[in-house]
Amino acid sequence: MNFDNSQPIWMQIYELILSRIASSEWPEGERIPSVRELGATLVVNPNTVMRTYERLTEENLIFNRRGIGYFVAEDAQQRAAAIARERFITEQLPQLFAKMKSIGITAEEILTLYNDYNNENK
Amino acid sequence: MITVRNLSFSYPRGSRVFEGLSLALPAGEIIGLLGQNGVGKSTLIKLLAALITPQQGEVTFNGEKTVRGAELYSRLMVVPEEFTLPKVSVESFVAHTAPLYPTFSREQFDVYCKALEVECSARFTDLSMGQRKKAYLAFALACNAELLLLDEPTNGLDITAKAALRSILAQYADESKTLIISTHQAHDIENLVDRVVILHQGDVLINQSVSELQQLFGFGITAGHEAIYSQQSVAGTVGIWAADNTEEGRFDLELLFNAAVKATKSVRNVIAQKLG
Repeated sequence: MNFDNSQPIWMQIYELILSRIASSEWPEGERIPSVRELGATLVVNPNTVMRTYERLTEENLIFNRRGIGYFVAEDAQQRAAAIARERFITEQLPQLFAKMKSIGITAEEILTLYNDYNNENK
Repeated sequence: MITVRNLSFSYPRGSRVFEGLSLALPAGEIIGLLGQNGVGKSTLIKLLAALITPQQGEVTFNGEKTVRGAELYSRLMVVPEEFTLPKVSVESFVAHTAPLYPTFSREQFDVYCKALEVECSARFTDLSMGQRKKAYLAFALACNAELLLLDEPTNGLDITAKAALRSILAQYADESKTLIISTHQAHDIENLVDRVVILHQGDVLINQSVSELQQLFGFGITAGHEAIYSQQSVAGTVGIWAADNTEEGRFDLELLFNAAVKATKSVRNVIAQKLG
C-alpha cells in the first residue's frame, strides 16, 4: 500500500477498512485478517494496525471474539458507508475545492467531467 | 528489556567509539537504529550481542548481565552487514546449526525461504552476496531469538526480496521477541518500527517510541509552523517543528534523521523541554 504524507498511517488504514466494509469486500459477520496478517500485507507495524482496529471496535464496526479474531459487525456495511461519505465531505472535498479555486476550475466543468467519466465507466 | 549502562568502547589503537553510553530498550519492540556512517551502529550491535567486550560498563538482557557463551548465544541472533559462511549447502548449514537454537522453527524457515526465494540446495560459496544474505536472514528469522539484531538487512537485496523481508519483519516482534534493525534506509523501516534510536556524535540523541516522537514533533509542509529544520521536496518546503499538541500528523523518519544531524541542538531542546 502506498501511503500519502498528510495523515497518520493508522488513519489511512482506517479509511481503507471503511471502504472495504462499505463495499462488502469484507462482508458483515465475516472474519477479517488478524492485526499481524494485515500488518504484514500492508508492511506496517502490527501496533499501528491494532490502533486502527481499536478505533473500529469503539465504533462497533468490528468486534473481537477472544482467541478467534476480529469480525465485521452485522450492521456495519451501511454505517461504514455513511462514515466514509461523511469523511469524504468534511475532509477530502474541502481540499479538492481549495485546489479547484487555486487553479480556476469551476463546478460546472467538474460536473461535465463527472458525467463524461460516468459515461465511460458504465 | 535491554539496558546499556555507562559503556565505553574503543578498538585497539583506534579512537574512542563510545564513552559512558547508556540506553534502555523495552522488550517486544521493533527498534530502528540510525546514525551517520562511522557513528558506531555496527559496534553497538556487536556490543549488544556480546561479540566484543567493552572496556567499561555493562549490557544487561532481561535483567542479567550478558556473559559470552552458549546460553546467551542461543537466545540472540545477529545478522552482520558482511559475513563469511562455511563452504556447505544452506540445507546442511541449517541442519547443523539449528539445534543450537531451541526456538528454531523448520516450518517458518521454509516459509521464509519461499518468500525470499532462497535456494537451499546451493552451497553458500556458490551464491551471490544477495542470495547468501537472504539465506542467512531466513535462518536467523526462523531461530525466533529473543533478540534479533540485523545490521543493514536490506543491503544487497533485490527489490522483491526487500519487500518480502519487510513484510516478514513487520510480524517478528511479540512480547518475548525484540528486533533491532540498523539501517540507512529510513523509508524502508518508517512504518515498521515501534521505536527509533539515533546515535549522533558518540551518544544517543534520540531513544523514543514513534508515538512519543509524534507528540514531540510535527512533520510535513512547514507553512504556518516554526520549523527547526526544513528541506525542499516536490510537495514544497517540508520540515519538522515542535508539536503544538493539536492534531496528530504523519511521522517522517528521514526528516527526523536529517533534523537530528543538521539541527542537533534544536532537536535536543525540543525533547528536553517537552519531556522535562
